[in-house]
Amino acid sequence: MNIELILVIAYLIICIAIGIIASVKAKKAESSDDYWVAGRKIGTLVNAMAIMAALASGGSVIGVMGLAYGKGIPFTLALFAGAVVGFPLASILVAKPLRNFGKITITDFLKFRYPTPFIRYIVALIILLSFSIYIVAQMKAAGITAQVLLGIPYNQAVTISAFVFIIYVSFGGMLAVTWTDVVQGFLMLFVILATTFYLLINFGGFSTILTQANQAAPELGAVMQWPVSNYIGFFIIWATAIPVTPHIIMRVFTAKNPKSAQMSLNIAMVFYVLMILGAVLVIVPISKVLIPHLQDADHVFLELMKQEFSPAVRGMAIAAVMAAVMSTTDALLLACSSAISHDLLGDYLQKKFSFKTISRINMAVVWIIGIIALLLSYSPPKFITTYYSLAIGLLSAALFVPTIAGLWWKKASTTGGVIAITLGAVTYLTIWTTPLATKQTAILYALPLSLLGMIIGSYWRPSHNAEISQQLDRMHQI
Amino acid sequence: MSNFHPLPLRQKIIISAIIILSTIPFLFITTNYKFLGLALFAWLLVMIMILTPIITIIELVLENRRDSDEH
Repeated sequence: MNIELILVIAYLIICIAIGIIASVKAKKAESSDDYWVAGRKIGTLVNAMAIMAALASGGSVIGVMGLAYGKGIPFTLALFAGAVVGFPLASILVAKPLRNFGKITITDFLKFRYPTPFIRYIVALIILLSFSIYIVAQMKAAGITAQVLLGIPYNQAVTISAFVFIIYVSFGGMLAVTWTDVVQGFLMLFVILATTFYLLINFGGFSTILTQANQAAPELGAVMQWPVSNYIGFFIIWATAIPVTPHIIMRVFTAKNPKSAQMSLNIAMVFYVLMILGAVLVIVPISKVLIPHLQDADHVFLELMKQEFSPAVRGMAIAAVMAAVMSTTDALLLACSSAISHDLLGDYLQKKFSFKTISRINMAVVWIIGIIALLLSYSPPKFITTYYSLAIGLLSAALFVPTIAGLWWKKASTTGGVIAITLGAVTYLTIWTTPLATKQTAILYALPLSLLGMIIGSYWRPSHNAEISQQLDRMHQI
Repeated sequence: MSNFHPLPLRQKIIISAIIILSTIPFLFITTNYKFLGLALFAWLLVMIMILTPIITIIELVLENRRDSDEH
């Protein structure tokens, strides 16, 4: 057995062990809070690393470099700068009031703020649709990593990795996801930064690397490979998605207090920026010089590892990519599972079954979603990052306006919320699936229409609910 | 009475600053000026990615210090 495989197997065993230990801890408690939000006891630094790991997916390690290699550095930075801007928006506009709200998912807030059964069902369905696509992109990252660096056929690699993370998410819930995310976050950050510094030292420093890359491939640093509206579209998708993305917002609920939630979002952003800038400004330019003609751009980091590094380093790199994939996919699986067994069926299940039976149903839901995503990932998309960014765009198109208006605008009414979600989602999906405009610009139409729907709906049929107003006042005051 | 829940002035300033800062690169998106092989647009985005965390963390630290002084 080669050293790469030994390192990867050791890493996967550690992840499953954490899942089992967390499962034993979770069994001691009789509360759903322990499963979904880790008992709301997670500290700032641990939560920050978990947030970074949840966001920095296979897309961020494999996909970000593939995107920069294939579509140029400016386009990639436009997309990821959007995510960086999204963090302070989440920290200032969402983290404190939502943490004070004290529930479990973003759907909990929306169905409290806009009390109609429609909200519960539509939001859960939007999350399921969007995250299923997101999970497929992550599975491609796992598959091609094992394919390129371990020589395992793509389908087998995807199947093995999918079963590993389904197992530990279904057993351990949020506590398992948080602790494995911390391990995975450190590993990812270490491998990307170590690779960046190694290449900086060995290839003559930052300006030499960029100058050489510019001579070898001038298109790498050029703008306008795509229309301007595509650059703006992807920036807006991520800037508005971070404050409403369920697997990020669930971390806000796990924080020990509102201040810790805000600080952990910002610390996560620092880790994330270091990783993205290292990958895009150092690793990709060198790869463009050394490996100029790749068929599948998403293979770039893996091919660089194969050409330039020893088997031990390659083993670490595979584990880091698997970490990136798993840390996001487990959070996505948990969010999907909560969309079904908490948001869609929560009230029914709590009336009919005990906490232990509901835990088993959660586990079954994780398995079903994981297996559906696994089947879809046997036919993978071309660019991982653009694929899942478009899926995330659906979330921001539907949920950004109702969430922010629901938290901050006192006049936001149930009718306004329903129209905003529907108009945002329908506009986005219409443009995505028809040739009316490019997919990347769908968000530029969906968000203004969602806002317009919110304003018209709220003035057309205002709602006056004293209980909601008092609770909102408390969320902003504590 | 305002129709909005109050947001502290410093946080309003930060959000406005980040939004204004974010629009600047997009004003330069069509320029072909390059520095070290990268378009000006890309360098401005790099600056946003570095400045945004610094600004918001400073604000949070100042807010925490102010809160502890009050207590």
